[in-house]
Amino acid sequence: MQNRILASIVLALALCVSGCATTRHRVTVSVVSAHAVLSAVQDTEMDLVCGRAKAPAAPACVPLAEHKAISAKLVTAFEYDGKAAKLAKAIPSGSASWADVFPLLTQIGTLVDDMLKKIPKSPQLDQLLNSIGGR
Amino acid sequence: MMFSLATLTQLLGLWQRILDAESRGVQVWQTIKAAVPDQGAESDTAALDAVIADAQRRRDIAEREANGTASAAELGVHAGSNGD
Repeated sequence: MQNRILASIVLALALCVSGCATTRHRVTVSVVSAHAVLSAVQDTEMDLVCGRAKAPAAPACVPLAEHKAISAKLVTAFEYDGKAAKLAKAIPSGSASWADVFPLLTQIGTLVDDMLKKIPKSPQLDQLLNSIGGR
Repeated sequence: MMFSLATLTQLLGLWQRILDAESRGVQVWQTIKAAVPDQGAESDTAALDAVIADAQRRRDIAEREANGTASAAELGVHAGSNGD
């Protein structure tokens, strides 16, 4: 499944491929990464909803029922996102650890995979997948 | 830390995919590398504060979209477009 790489990006950023100096920075990069991916999915999907100004014609647009389902997943995902950022902020105090943030990021990756499966194929989806490393 | 062979294999596959993605110049990587430079705790805190605020804002938008109560500006609907 091509979209599984999204979860992998979150996981790999957790390992900090770019050579992060501290655990906190490693976690910060991971959290910002997850937020960037979620934001890109939300911005793109909202434009693809059938009937909206930038939406393609059916069947490439996202039907309203699917849009509501995706939006509900985004609610959950952004809640995880904010919680992960708050946990990351608390790391120096010793009140949180990477182990607390990791499950939230993997859950975000899973939600992103689920959401992308609901979006019909279109040039906009291809562009989104390309920008977030989904293919 | 000890890893099993299966875990190591999984990690190697993961790294390969990430390296492939990076070699294609994936935008999200470039954006994040630029947006979150390794400049110490204060820089990280600022980035995390921005995520916390934006996550709340986007969560609220998603909730309105899920409930069908989004504003006209958020919907961006125009007359005559294809309906669902």
